[in-house]
Amino acid sequence: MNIQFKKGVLELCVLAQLRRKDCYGYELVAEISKNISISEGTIYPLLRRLKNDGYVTTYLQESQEGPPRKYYKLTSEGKTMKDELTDEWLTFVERVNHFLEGANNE
Amino acid sequence: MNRKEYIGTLRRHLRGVPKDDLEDVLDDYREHFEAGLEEGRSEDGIARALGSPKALARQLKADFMVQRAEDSASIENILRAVLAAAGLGFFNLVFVLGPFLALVGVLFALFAVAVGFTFGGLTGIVAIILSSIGGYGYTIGGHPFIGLIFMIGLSLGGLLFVMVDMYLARAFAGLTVRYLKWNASIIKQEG
Repeated sequence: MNIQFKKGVLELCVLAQLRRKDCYGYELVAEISKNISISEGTIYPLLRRLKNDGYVTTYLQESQEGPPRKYYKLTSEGKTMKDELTDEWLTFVERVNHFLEGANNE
Repeated sequence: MNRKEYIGTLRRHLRGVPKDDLEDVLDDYREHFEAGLEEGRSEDGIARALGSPKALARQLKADFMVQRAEDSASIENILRAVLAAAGLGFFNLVFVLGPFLALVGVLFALFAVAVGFTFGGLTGIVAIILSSIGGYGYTIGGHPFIGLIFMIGLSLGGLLFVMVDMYLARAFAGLTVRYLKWNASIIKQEG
């Protein structure tokens, strides 16, 4: 898949995964890269930005093995953002599909 | 590349980032390695999947600089943020540094003109007064009084111009920070 494409939707994927449940960084990467191959390290700068902008908060929680982990949680602004981005994404995909179908029929 | 090398490279390329922030960043990646190892992955495999630590460091550093410029929009902070963002790839070099330098140039030129008006006017006032005292009759517009009015108008106009320019510069600083933030959210590191 085109690299700029993926980068654009990574934010939406992160928000969508966090909407399902709070995750720690590695878990988030693992869930997303099941479906989309990403450069895994870029998720942390993204999370940092989302946190600065107030879309996510973090908290520490003990893990069974090893030191406590940093969990990410969506704020209510984050939930709103996720809904907005989802709508935008669906509209966009629908229009592109519509266009592609039209191009195929010519 | 093993975990130690990876974290070390990140640390080296994050020079200039405040210590607390730096440790915070490194902790994220330490935790990532920790979790990956628990899953039975190798350090090398995890490092490779994370991607180039240099590229990551550049991105993180640019984010920190933009954040700092947002918190305190000093000339130094804004310059650092612009330079860091410009270093993120060819696209940014063209679309961040280029327009920024062009607009700074325009502001600077306006400022020079404004200062020129102000000092030109003041010099004129002094010249007219001195020449009247000395009886040389140097003036503009036929009568010393008209010349004086003109020069006073010129310096006041220049001062007003300086103030407008400073207002523009401040607005430009705010816009720059907002543009950099937006830029950071759409342009990620190449590769």
